[in-house]
Amino acid sequence: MDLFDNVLHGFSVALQWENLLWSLFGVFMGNMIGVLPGMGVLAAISILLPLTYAMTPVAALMMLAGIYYGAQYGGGITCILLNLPGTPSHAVTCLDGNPLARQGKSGSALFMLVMASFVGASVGIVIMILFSPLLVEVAFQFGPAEYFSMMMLGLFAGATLAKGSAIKGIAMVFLGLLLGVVGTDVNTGTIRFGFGVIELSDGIPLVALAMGLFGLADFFANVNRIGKATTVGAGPKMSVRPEPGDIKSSAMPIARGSAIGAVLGILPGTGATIASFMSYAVEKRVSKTPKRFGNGAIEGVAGPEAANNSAAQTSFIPTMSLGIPGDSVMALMLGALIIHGIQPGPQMVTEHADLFWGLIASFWIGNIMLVVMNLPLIGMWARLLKVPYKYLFPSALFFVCVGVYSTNNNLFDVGMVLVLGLVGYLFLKLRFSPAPLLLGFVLGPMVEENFRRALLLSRGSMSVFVDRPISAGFVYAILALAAWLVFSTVRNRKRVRELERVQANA
Amino acid sequence: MGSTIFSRKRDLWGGAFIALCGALTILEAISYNIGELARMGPGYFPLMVGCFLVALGILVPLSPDPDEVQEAMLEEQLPQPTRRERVRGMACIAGGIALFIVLGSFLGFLPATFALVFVSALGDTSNSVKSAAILALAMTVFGAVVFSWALQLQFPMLRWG
Repeated sequence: MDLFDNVLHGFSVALQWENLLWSLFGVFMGNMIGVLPGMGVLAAISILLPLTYAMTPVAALMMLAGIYYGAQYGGGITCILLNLPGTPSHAVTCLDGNPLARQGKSGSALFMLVMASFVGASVGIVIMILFSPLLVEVAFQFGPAEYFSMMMLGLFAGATLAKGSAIKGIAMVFLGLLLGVVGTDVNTGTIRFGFGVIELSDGIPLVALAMGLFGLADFFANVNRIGKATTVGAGPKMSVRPEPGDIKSSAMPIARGSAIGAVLGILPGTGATIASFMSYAVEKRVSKTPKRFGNGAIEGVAGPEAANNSAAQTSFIPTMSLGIPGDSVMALMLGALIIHGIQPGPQMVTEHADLFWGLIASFWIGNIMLVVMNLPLIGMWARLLKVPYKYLFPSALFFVCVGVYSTNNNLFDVGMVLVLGLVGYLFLKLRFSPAPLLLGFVLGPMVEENFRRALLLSRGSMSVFVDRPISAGFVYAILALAAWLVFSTVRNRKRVRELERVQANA
Repeated sequence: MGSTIFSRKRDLWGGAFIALCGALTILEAISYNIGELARMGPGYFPLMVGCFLVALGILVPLSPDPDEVQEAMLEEQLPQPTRRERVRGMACIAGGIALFIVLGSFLGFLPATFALVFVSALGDTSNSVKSAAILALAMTVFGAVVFSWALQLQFPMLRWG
């Protein structure tokens, strides 16, 4: 059987010493970074990205992916023990995880967290194995018009469905597209938006952008704040022992959560965060005793954790098989592949089969390693929570500077991080989420290239985007999103006015 | 009180910022060859993006987000750093990076690393001069061993001018 052979081949790649070691290093770093409050996955991946330049693309991607799904495990631990989401996709876990810990049931909650994560991830991986080859078949029929429409849909969905204001998200996508334009135009050789600075002729380096917006901007926002707002409670007893009833009552939430996560991971724009929120809402709705939610319901930990891990795995499907990242982490993965000279997309799955199937196999190995790391070593991770931020951020800053420098051996890039970090801080203050910007930045050159090519082929007729059926489908989906956007804006205005009235009376 | 008005004002600034970015983009884009739809020049795509940015900048203050308003209300109740602490933190981090660049190009990797970690650590009010110095020293030794010796980073340890 073809599929089976491919998976076996993948394991043979993933089990090579070098790959196995880097993948282990990745999940370990990811788990650690997920646990550390105030350190984001995006910052971690961008800091460690320069380290991968010397590796083979396979090892590099396995490590970077490991950081991502490793952090999904680690983030939940912080939530349960500290009531502080290490990553946004765990915000929901805090709601019930922390009350459980305060009731002295942290062992049970942590056990369910690890098991739910593992089951969710496994479901995600199976879906990825089954679904990716199908998607590749479809993708081979895509022309530039389809690619353009699909990327626009991905960008729109990513901006509107994410947390916060949809209009602001779309504005950030366009800013990202704009930053992607900087540098030499591939068709004419014109240097655009260089303003005479020779270093800009190669464009803005992805690493500098990601570190500025997600690393430095967060340090600016968190300095003197973390450690003040979060006082660690008395150290809870560390044991990972489930209570008998918990496994039974968690089984269905885990199954539902995995399914929700798998679907939302594949769809463009929705990812782990939305999946976990949706799973929580579903569990609350189907529960016979919805009042328990928020006061320590184990289902409220198991469901969302299964969902976000499942989504974390399936979000690799569109990134790998279409070359379209669904969220900012995937955009960074895509950027990493491009840095290594590999253009993701349907060709990649067939031409770089060892990379694709090796990565899938490494997911499984990585997840098993995570279970092994988390069950007995939970005490070690919990101790890590006590590393104070005042030592953490100066050290991380050093890695940021050295990492950016090593990309081009150039101090100009470090200055660029400083500028981008200040801009990123401004965005945070104005409540613009920087994640859609990164998505736009990575996809920008591809969007422009496909747009130009599609219209060149159609001799300047815009109708090419609706004449071809697949492309038309994407365009209609964008229009539906736009209609929904108008509707929700009108509704939101009403709600804001009400809030104002309440405030005025209070 | 006041957080809704504040968030209104913030959206106004945010929208103005986006619209300004768009306007500047348009100005720069028309200095390149625009071309036509069938044969786009280098200026076409940025021009389009610029127009969208201007439009979105106008839309931002018109579409307030209730979750954001509520979030702002919640945040007011959390302990926040004082203005002084925030300025100190940011100035020290930015200053540390600036020092890294200056010292890195004139004196080399070791002094640059020490200055970066030392100055940025002082941004946190709970760090003393002593604890910042110890942390900086530790990172410098770590950096020398890992990056220069093990990873062969192309960055001279010490240099003059």
